[in-house]
Amino acid sequence: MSRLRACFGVQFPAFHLNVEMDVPMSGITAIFGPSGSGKTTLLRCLAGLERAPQGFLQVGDEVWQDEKVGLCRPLSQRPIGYVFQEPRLFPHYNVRANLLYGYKRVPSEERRIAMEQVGAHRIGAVLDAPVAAHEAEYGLTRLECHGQSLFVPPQAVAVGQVMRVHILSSDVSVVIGRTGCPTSVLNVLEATIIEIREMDQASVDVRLDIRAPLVASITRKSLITLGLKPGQRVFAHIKVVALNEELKACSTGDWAKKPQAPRMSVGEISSSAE
Amino acid sequence: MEVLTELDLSALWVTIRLATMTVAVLLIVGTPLAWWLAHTRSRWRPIVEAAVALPIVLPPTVLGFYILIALGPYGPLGRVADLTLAFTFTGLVIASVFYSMPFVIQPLQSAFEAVGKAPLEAAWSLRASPWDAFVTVISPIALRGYISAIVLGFAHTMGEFGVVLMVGGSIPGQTRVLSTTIFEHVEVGEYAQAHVVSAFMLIFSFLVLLTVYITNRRFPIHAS
Repeated sequence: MSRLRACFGVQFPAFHLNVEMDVPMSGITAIFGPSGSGKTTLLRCLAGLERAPQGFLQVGDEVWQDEKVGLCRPLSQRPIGYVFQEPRLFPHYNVRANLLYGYKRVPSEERRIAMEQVGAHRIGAVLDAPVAAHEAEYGLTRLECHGQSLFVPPQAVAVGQVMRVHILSSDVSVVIGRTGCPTSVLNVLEATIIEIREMDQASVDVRLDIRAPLVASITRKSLITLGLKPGQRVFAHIKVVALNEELKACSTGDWAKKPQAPRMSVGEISSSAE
Repeated sequence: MEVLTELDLSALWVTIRLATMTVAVLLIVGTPLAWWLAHTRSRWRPIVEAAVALPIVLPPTVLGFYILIALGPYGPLGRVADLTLAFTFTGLVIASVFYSMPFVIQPLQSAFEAVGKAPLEAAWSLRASPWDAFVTVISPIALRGYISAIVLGFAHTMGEFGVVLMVGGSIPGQTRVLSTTIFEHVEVGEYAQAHVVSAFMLIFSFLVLLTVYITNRRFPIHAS
């Protein structure tokens, strides 16, 4: 049975870490501990982002690091994935080029997904919603959406102006109770399930009625866990909406003179950094 | 009277060649050095930083004097290889590299500090080799730093006088540059010629700085 063996000693000015581990390569290994105990440092050592002066790392049959002989394989030659704690998009590339960056550098026989599969599942809904109010207190604009409210970042348009709202199915999730799970999602709309359509092995599309059509893309697992059926009353969590620039541009009135708000509006305030 | 004499034109040509080569050498040498300065935790860092910044405060004659000694027949190169680079174009390039070093290193260093290590680590984790990551991720994000470094390095080399006179002398066609040409013109009382060359330098320098400030304003931090 192949195993991962590691031994690291790292000295930072205010922190030092000594780890010895021997875990199976199969399955999932979780590392937990209080914050500051060195979880990230350990992962960085495993990835090769931090070089422990007396480190040793063996992955299966291969030795990736052995400081006794001065060996340390660079991260670019370690077939691993590393999810950083914060987004690290390349700012000079667009979304597609960001996705292709890693794809192009993985040998074709090692690729597990084709580029065509990425973003192929782009369906969504388009709603026309008039501006109901500018909530200066919260710095948000409230749109009237068939009797419910949709909050978006402040828009430089007059009250009553109709905005076209695009909502991708991948940005909508479904929950059963409004209060059941605490959320940072700003827009929670009441909805009725019309139809559940199986898409592939992993995901399903849930067609919702909010007195206008809406689609949510959820995993098969959440479908089973939640026990969703057509006709059921649920809540739709809308994480991201995109507002149409053109409709905004033909607005008149005082609001039109204010600076243009960002085109992509993010319902989840905490992740609204562009 | 011609606007620029043949001597002036040859000085212009020497100046442009000198500035181009100096910037090229500095970009090659300066990129790794600036990168090291931006990211090292070594205690040598302040010493190296001070050494790099030295030409800003040092009188050019002092710098020129030491380089002249080092490149002369009794310097290390002269003794070992019997190679005298003083009063040659190559010697002038070497001297200019030292003289303009802070103007190339410092913009690069601040650009690299601003980029940080995060994009680099992300690129490594996506299997980009260090060189690949530098070319495809770091240098485009640090583009503004490169533009500043190239323009400032070029302009500063064009404006050097003291070091050129000390190390290069003022040999027409070889080491006579525009700034020393002005000096020669004034010395022999050719004020009209001195005016022409000086005005050229003045306008050129202003345009260069204008370009830097316009690009810094216009250029997005991350060119797409």
